[in-house]
Amino acid sequence: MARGDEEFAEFVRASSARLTHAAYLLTGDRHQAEDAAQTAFTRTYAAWSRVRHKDAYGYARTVLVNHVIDGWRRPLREYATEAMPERPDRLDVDKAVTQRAWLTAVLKTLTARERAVVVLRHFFDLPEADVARELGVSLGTVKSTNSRALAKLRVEAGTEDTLIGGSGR
Amino acid sequence: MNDLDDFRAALRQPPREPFAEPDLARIMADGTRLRRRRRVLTGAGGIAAAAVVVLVVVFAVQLRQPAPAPVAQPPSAALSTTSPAPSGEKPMGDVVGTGIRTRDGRGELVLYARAIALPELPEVGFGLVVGVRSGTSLQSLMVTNEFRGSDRSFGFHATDGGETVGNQVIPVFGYFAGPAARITTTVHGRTVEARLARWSEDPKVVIFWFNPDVVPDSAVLTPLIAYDADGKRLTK
Repeated sequence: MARGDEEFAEFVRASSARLTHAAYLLTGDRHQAEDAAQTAFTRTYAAWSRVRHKDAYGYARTVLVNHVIDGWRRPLREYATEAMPERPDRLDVDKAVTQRAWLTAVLKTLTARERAVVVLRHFFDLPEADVARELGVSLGTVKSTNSRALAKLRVEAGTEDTLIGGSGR
Repeated sequence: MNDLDDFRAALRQPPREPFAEPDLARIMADGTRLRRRRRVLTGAGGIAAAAVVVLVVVFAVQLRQPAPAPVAQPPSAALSTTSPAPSGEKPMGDVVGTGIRTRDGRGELVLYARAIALPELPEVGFGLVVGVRSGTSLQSLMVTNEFRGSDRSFGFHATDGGETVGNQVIPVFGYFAGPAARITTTVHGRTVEARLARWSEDPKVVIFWFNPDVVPDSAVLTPLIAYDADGKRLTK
């Protein structure tokens, strides 16, 4: 195997779980998530010679997120669930299982853009400016979308994620 | 720990069952096919000579036949104008101006076809080139071509670009074989239209490109959709 291919194989091994997990949070479907990750890695491999010494992970993430959001061959489902599931008790003995179920249910109440902002901001931990660049929207839109999504999820935002004055600036 | 910390922890909690490992062999095979489009032209030194031979044949055929009558084009605001090729490069047909100035301000990005004659690609007679036109000179920046089947089979071919070569941003470009009057993609969920120009050598071939300000990177590109002059979708 060529050196570049060995590096790529290592890159896939190191990043596939995280990228597929992100795709799952975006789609809510395991098969779609695994397909999206496969597509993102394929396009990253095609561009490997020019991204391997730059930000390969960022390139793969961008391909993945846009692939999912724009519904590449598999339109993203929009959920219209109004009823919010009950927030699990923090002292639940099987907290992990309960939280997982809760998370899956609440993410379905978000729009595609809200899910994308939430995943980029709180799963990938990207700064808001980077989220805006990744999604091709303004910083204000990211702030307001994030604020709206967290409010829907009934998650109390920290200081950094609170939209002061609601102006979106 | 506040609510947000809990939420972030929940987001990052691994799934109950691990996801399937990506199929590395398939990734590399599919990725290699994506790469190969461009390598066919850029990697082979003997192509230029082969191209000249093909051009001679093409020109000879044209000399023997009367020029075809102009074909009426359906009205479309997106269709671009073309002009005869400057000297230097040997394009097949007219050079298509994109209206995009190069970063150094010395020329305009253009698209044109270049002949190909490769034994391993018997059904491919041309590829598409992005170049810079400056006065009468023409310099290629990126070349791409179909590598599976016929270069004029119905559908999209040789879509490439959306990256920086040297200091120059190359727009996403390609061609469609068929009666496309409108070509779109989506970027960040928004529909974006390509600029179009019919190839002077074959009006059934429509060259397209996207404004790099709107489609800055191939990573954000989604599958292209072509429509005919009546607005009927030509591709799935």
